[in-house]
Amino acid sequence: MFKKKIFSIVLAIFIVVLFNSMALASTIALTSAGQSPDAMMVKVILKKMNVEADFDMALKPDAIKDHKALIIVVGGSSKGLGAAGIDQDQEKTRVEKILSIAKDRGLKVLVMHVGGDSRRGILTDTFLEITAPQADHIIYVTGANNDGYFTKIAEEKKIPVEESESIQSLDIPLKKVLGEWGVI
Amino acid sequence: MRKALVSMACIMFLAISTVSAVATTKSNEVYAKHGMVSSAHKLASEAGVEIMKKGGNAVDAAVATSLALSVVEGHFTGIGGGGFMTIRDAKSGEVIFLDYREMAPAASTRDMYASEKAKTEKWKSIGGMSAAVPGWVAGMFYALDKYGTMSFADVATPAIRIAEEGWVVEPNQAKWYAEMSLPLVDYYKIEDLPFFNGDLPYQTGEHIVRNDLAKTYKLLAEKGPDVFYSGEIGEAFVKEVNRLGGIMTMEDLKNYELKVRKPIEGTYRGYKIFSAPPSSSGGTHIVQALNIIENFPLDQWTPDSFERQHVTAEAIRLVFADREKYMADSDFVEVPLRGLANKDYAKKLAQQIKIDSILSIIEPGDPWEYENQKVAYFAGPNGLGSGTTHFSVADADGNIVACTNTHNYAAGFVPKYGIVINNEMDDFSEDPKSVNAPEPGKRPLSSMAPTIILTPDDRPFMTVGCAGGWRIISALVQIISNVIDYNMDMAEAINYPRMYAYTVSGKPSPYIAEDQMPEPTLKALEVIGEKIDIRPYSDYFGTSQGIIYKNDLMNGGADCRRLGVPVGF
Repeated sequence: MFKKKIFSIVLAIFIVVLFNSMALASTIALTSAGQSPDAMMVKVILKKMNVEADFDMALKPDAIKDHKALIIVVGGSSKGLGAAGIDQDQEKTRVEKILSIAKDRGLKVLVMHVGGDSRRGILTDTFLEITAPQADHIIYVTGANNDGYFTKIAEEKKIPVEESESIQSLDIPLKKVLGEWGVI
Repeated sequence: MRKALVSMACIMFLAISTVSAVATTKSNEVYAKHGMVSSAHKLASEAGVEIMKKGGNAVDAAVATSLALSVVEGHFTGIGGGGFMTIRDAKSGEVIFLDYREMAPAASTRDMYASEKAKTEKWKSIGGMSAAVPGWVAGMFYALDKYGTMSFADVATPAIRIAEEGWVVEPNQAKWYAEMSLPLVDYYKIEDLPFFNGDLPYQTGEHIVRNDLAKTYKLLAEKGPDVFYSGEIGEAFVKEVNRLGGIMTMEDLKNYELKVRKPIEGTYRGYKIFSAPPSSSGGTHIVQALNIIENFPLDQWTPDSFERQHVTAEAIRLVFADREKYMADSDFVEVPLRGLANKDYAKKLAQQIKIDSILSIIEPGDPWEYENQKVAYFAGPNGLGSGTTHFSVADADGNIVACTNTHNYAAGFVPKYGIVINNEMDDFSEDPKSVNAPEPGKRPLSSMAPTIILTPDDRPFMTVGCAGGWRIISALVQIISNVIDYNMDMAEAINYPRMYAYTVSGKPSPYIAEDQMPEPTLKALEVIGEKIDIRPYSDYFGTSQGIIYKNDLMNGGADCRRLGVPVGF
C-alpha cells in the first residue's frame, strides 16, 4: 500500500516535470508585425541558438496560450501583406490584439527591428508606432536608429534597448534578454 | 452648384501651384555611340558590352547580359524561369517577339487551386504545385541560334567568370536573398540554399560566389539545351519540384514549346510601339492606356500636374477593368486583342474620364464591338511555331533587344545546380471559371512588356521595359509618356516619381503614389475625390531600364530604385 502511494507520488511528480519541460520547449511565441521576412530571419537565428519558438508570421491572438514571452519582429512589406492576403489595417488590428492579450496574461514583450535602415519607412513605422511603446525590451540592428527613433522611444517610455551591429551578432542581445527573462 | 464651383476653384488654385514642383530626380544618363546595355546590375551590363566589343551583335549581347543577370540577379531570373524578348532585326527592319514564358504541367486542371485545402495551404504560390515548366533555356538558345552570331560558350564566358569570381552583396540583394530563402529553410539543408552564407542569407557587404551556377552554365555550353529539357539538369529539376509536392514530369520538359509571335503594335502620337502580346497582358494594355491618354492635351499640363496624374490614373484603372475580364493566354482563350488596341474604343473609354471627378465604379468595356474593325496599327498574335528583371540592348547597326525575364518568386531550389524553381503558376487564377484558369500547357497571364518604339518613319527610337508585376503597366505608360510628351532623357523619364492605380471587381484602387509627388497635386486629387496612398520612392513602383536613340547617340537610363546601370561604348 505504502509502496503504491510512493509510486503514485513519483509518477505525479514525473508527469508534472514532463509537462513543464514540454511547456518550456515553446515558451516563446514569435510573429511579424508588417509581414516582412525579418521574422523568419529571427526564427533562423533562434534555431541556430537552439531556442525553440512557436513561429507564425500571422499568429492569431488565440494561439497565445502558455507562452511566457512574445517576440514581435517589426518590418512592413507590401509584398508580404499581399502574400498573406491582408492589408495594412488588418495587420495592425491583429498585432494590437496579440499585444493586448500578451499584456493581459503577463507575457514579456520583445520588439525587434532587424532590417536596418533599409527596412525603415512609412509602412514599417506604422507598425513600430503600435508595438515599440508596448515593449518590455527592444532590440534593433544598427542603421535602424539613424534618425534616433529607438533612442527617443527608449528615453520617453523607459524601455531598455539593445543595439546589434549586424544580423549575424543578434544572438548576443537575444541571449541576454531572453536569459534575463528566464525563458531560455 | 455652389459646392461644385468652390471645388473647381480649389482645383484650379492647386493645379496652378503644382507647376514643376517635383524636384529633379537622381539621374544616371549615359551616352554612347557604338553600343549600349542597360540592365539592373552593372556587371550584367558590362557583360553585354564585353560581347559587343568582341564583335557580337545586340542579340549576342542580350544573351550574355541575360546569363550574367541570372548570376547577379539569380533571385529574379534564371534557368528555372522564363520570359519574353522583343527583337528588332536591323537588316529586315522586322520586330519579332519570343515567348519563352513557363507552361503549366500536363497534369494541371482548371480547378487545381480551387479547393479550400489548396487555398489554405497556398498551393498556387508555395511548394512544388506552384512550379511551371521553365522556358528560359529554350529562349536563350533560340535567340542566339536565330539572331545571334556567337556560340553559347562564347556569350556565357562573362557570366561564368562573374559566378566564379563573385561580387559584393548590395543592400537590395541582401533584402531579396532573405525574402527568397527564408520561407524555404524548413525544406532544405542550409548548405543546399544558394543564397545562404553559413547559417544566414548573404548580408550586405559579404562576398558571394556562385560556383554551382557556373558549373551548370558550362554543362549547358558543352551539351546544349537538351541537357535541361531531356538530360541531367532537367531530371534534377523535376525531381526537386516533385519532392516539394509538384506534378511535373520529364515529358513536360520535353514538350516545352517556345513561341515566336508577332508583337502587339500600336502608336502613341505617331511613334510606333511594339510590345508583348499574350500570354502577357502588358503590351496590349500599355497600347490601350496610351490610346486613352492620347485623347487628352498633355502638352498643356506639367508631368506632375494633378490633371496629368488624374487622367493617367483613370486610364490605367479602365485598362485593368478590361484586363480582369478579357486577358489570358490567347492560345487557349479568345481575347479581343484588336478591340483592346483600337483607338476608337480607347476614345469611347476616354469619354468616361472627367477632369473634376473620379470614376467611383469601373466596369469593363466591350472591346468585342471593335474587334472586327480594321485597325491600322495592330499586328495581332500569330504563332510561327513557335520575380523579373528587364534589360535593353542596342547596337550601332540598329539591332535592338528588349528583354524581361522572371521566375516570379522561389518555389524551391535545385541543389548543386544553383537553380531557382519558379512559382509562376501563381499568375493563374484559382477560379476555375476564369479565362486565366490553369490548363495543361497553358501560359499564366503576365504583365511583362519588353517594348521597342520606332519613330513614325520607322527609325529606332527607344527600347524599354520594367519589372514589378501589375505595376509594369502603369510604370511603362508613364515612362513612355515622359519621353514622348515631355521630352525627358531616358534616366530622367525612368526615375521621375510615379503613381500606380488599378481596378478589381469594378472597384477602383486609391491613387498610390511615390512620396516625391508634390503636395498641391495630392491636395487637388483629394478635392476631386481621390483616396491618396503615399508610399516611399522604391522598387514597389517597378524598376525599369531603357535606351533612347538621340542625336545620333544612344542615351541609356536605369532605375535608381534598384541597382540599374547603363553601360555603353
